[in-house]
Amino acid sequence: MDRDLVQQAQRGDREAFGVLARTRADQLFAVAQRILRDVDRAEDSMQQALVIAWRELPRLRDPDRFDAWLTRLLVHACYAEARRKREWGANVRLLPVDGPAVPDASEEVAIRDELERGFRRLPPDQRALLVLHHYLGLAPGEIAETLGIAAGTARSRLHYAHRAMRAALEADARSTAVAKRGAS
Amino acid sequence: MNRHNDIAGTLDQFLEDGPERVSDHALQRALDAIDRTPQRHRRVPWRFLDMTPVTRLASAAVVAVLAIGGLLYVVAPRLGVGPPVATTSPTPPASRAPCVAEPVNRQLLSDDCTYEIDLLGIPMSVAGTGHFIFEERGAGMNLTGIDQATNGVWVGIFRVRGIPSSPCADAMSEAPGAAPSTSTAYIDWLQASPLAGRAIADVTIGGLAGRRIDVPAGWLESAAPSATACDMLWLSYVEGDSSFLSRGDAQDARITMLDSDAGVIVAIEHFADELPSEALVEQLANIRFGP
Repeated sequence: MDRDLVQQAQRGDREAFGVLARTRADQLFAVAQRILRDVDRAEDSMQQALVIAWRELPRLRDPDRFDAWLTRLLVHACYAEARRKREWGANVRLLPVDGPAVPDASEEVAIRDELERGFRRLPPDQRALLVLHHYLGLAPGEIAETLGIAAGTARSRLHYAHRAMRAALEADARSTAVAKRGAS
Repeated sequence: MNRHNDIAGTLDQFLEDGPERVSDHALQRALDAIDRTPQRHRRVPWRFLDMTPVTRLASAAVVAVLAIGGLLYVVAPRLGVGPPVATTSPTPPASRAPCVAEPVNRQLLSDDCTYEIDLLGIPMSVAGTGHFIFEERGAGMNLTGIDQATNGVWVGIFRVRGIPSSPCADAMSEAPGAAPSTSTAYIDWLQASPLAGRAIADVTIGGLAGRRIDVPAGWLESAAPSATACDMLWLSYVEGDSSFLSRGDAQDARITMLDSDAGVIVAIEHFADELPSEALVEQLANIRFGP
């Protein structure tokens, strides 16, 4: 069914592409939000990916690969969005995270904050790998196909992404400990 | 950090949380953008997003241009308006004999000759040695030049100032306000000396290099009814009048844009092992256009 829609869209059928876009938008947005950690930028990336997909669709050789191709476009749009933030965010000062004004005893919240900070420490490409694997549930081979890289490369990068996440969490724990010592 | 030893399980849970649905407004915005965007033709050999690494390396392409609107010299008489005003000194046509008159959307391989092209009714010639791809881009044209000697240099500018508002104006940082009574179009050609060491092509419009022509408002709609500025959407980094650098979506590409407030965009996508030199980037960033 979707193959027919993709082929119609390849021939310039905007309505067909509209159907494809509507049925994919939520997932595209969800993936982008998890990579970028920002709703507005995730929406921009989703839009960018869909627009580029529409433009480039006639050149997609295998309609059955539409979803993987679209995900790839989205990931690239997220990379671009992340770089854009860096370029235009040069004057934004990073303030230390002091934690909530009212101490939250919830261990769950603390862990989540820790994970959030750790994840944000990762470069976008590693975040994307982790999101594709842990959120979309893609196996390394599927990630490879999606990103257009070798399967071995995908496995290797995923390994490094996990290691980087672990290191980021450890670094966060160290900086938190230093901050606590400084405050006491 | 023992609690994170099971990093995979931790990430599964962590990434499961978060918004799952895009807002209706954002979705509609995307659909509207799609409605304004033309599709590219399959026959165009150069592909921006789906190139393989091998193709990138092989082509070592540098791309550029964009522009909306456009108009030139020969079109004004066709539209029944007065002669255009040229602000640059006429230069003689290229001395090399024309090789072939080619339509757009063709890939040409040149030894050393002059190609004559008809662009929206405007005679345009490109002279040089290289591999050129002419690709329609909205009302303007993409010229991709691949220099065979240096394996990749392209710099081109197709400039239009004061184009009446287009449905894709938001994509090109078009100056706000009422549409002017006339538009001004330029086509210039720059030498990419830091990379190529020489110009790879000479471009003339109507036999003149670096033309400025005033055309009446509405020319764009008349000359190219289906043209839009949407082809610039992928250059969505453009903001204000600031110049900045950014790597392209391909990891080995870099895009440079400047003077976006004037509707000028220079883009360089360099699909090679090395990025354009900082010297070239700096040179481009310092270019100021206009009469």
